[in-house]
Amino acid sequence: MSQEMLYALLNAWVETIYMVVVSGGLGLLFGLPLGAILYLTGKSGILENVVIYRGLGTTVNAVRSIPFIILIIALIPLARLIVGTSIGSSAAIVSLTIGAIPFVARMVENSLQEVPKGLIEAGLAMGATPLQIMLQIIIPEAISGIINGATITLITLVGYSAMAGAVGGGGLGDLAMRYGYQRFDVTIMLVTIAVLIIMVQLIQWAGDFLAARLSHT
Amino acid sequence: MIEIHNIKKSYVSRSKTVIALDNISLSVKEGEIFGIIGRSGSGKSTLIRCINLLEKPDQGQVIFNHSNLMSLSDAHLRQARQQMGMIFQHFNLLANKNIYDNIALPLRIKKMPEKEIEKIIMPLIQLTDLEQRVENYPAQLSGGQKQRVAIARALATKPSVLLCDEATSALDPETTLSILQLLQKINRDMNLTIILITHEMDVIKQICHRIAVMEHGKIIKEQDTIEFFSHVSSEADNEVVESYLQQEIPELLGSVMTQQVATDTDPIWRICFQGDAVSLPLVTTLVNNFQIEVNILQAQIDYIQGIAVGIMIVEVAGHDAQLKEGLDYLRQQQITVEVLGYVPRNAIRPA
Ligand SMILES: Nc1ncnc2c1ncn2[C@@H]1O[C@H](COP(=O)(O)OP(=O)(O)O)[C@@H](O)[C@H]1O
Ligand SMILES: [Mg+2]
Repeated sequence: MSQEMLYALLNAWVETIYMVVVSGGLGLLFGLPLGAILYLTGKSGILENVVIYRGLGTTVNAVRSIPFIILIIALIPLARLIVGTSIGSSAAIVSLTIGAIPFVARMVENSLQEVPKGLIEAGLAMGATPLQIMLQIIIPEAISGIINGATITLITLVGYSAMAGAVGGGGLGDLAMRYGYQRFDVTIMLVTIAVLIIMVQLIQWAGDFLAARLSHT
Repeated sequence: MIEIHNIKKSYVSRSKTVIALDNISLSVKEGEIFGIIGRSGSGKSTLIRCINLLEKPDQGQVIFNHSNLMSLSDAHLRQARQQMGMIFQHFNLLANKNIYDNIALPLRIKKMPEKEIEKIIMPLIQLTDLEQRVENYPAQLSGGQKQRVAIARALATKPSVLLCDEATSALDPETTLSILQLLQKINRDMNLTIILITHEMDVIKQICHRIAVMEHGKIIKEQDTIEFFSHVSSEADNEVVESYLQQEIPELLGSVMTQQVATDTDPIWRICFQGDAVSLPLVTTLVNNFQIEVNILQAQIDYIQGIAVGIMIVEVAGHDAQLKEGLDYLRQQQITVEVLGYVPRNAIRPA
C-alpha cells in the first residue's frame, strides 16, 4: 500500500470516527430525554398523557421508517441551514443525528420499561417526586439496558456513516466503495473492512464491559 | 392514627367493572399491629394501597394523623408518605444499589445531608442485623435478608406507621417467623403502628393485636385477635371466617347433628377458653359437680402471642336442669359456650 493510500485510509478513519462520535453524542443527548418522555407519558406511566405520547410516538415512528439513504437526501436543505453546507462530514452528521435520535429514544423507552413497576411504587411510597423517581430509581436500574442501547446505536451509526458518501461525507465506507468497488482495489477494500470490524468489536466490547460493571443483578 | 371512612374503589376495564373495595371503614389505633386477612382477590392490597394513596379511592376519606390525605396537595401528600413506611411481598429493592444505598434512598429523596444519613442508617443496619452486608447488592442476599433491608429502608424516615403488603408471603416458614419477630420488636421498641395484610392465619396469630377479615371487598369481621380465636362473637360467622378459625365441625357429627331438640337427643357444645381458664379442671367439674356426662369429640390448645386459647367440642348428656346449671357455671368462668346442635343419644358413641 502506498503512502498516499495509507494517508487516505487514515483520513477516512478519522472522518468515520468524527461522524459516529458527534452524531452518536448528539443522538444520545436528544434521544435520552425523548425516550424518557415517551416512557413517562406512555400507557400507565407516572405522567401518562395520551396526546403527548401519540404525538411524539408517531413522529419517532415516521422518522424511523424512512430508509437512511433517503433521509440523507431529504435532509440536504436542513443540513445547509444548520451547518451552512450540504456536503461533507458535517452535513452527514445532521442526517445521522436526526436518524439516531428516534432510534435512541425507542431503545431508552424499552430499557426503562424493563424496570419492575414495584420499584416505582416503592419510590412513590417514599414520597419521591416523578423526577426523583426517574433520576434516582428508574435510570440507575435501567443503566445497563441504556448502555446496551447506546452500543447498538453507535454500531448502527458506523454502518450508516458508510452511506454518508452520498453527500460527500467521506469515511471508511465511502473509501471502500470508491477504491474497492469502482477501481477494484481489493487490498484497500479488505483493509477498510478489517478496520470497520475492529471498530465495531471495540465498541461492542467497551459497551459490554461498561454494562457489566454498572449492573449488579 | 389512621381512619378510613366509607371508601369505595372499583376498576373499570373494557368488559366489566370490578368492585375492589365496597364501602370500607376502619380505624387503626396508635401502637397496634393490625392484621387484614382474606383470600386472594378479596381487596387487601387495594385497601392497604389506599392508606398511602398509591391507589386513590373513588369516594370516602382517608385520615392520617388528623389530616385528610385526599385533600392534600401533591407536595403535602409526599410529605405525609414520608411518615409512612411500606414493605412489599417482592421487596422492591434497587438491584444496582448496595444495601447501604438502598436504605439511604428515602433520606436522599428528602435531600438530607450524607453525614446525617449515616447517623440514621447505622443503627438501622444493626437493628436488622445486616452489619456484614452493607457493601453487598440485593442479588447477593437471601429473601429474609432482602426483606430486612426493605424494613430498614422503610424505617429510615422514622415513620409513625408501617404498611406491610404480604411481607412474608415469599418467605419460608422459618424466615417468616424471624421477620415477624423483627416487626414485633420494632412495634414494641419504637411504638410503631403496623398494618399488615396476609393470607396466612399464622401471621395473624403470631403478632397481630387486632384482625379484620376481608371478603369480596368488604370487611366481614373485625375483632381483637384473642377474642377472634376464642370464638367470642355475637353473630354467626360465615364460612370464610370459620375456615380461618380452622374449626370445622368434626366429620362424624356432620351427618347426624340437627338443630332440633328431641327427648332422646344430646346437645353438642363448643367450649372456648383462654388464658388462666385453660388450667381449670372443666370436664371434671362438669362430671362431679353437675352429674353431666361429657364425651370429648375434639380438643385443641393454641398459643396466640403467648396466651393459651383452647377449644373443645363435646357431647353432653344429663338432665335439662343440670345441663343448664353446668352451662351457667362455665359462662361465669368467662368461658364461651356455643350450642352447635343436637345428636341422637348414642349415635356417635364408639361402637
Ligand atoms: N389495577 C387493577 N386493575 C384492575 N383490577 C384490579 C387492579 N388491581 C386490583 N384489581 C382487582 O381488584 C380485586 C382486588 O385485588 P387486590 O386488592 O389485589 O386483592 P388481594 O390483595 O386481596 O389479593 C381483584 O379482583 C383484582 O383483580
Ligand atoms: Mg395482594
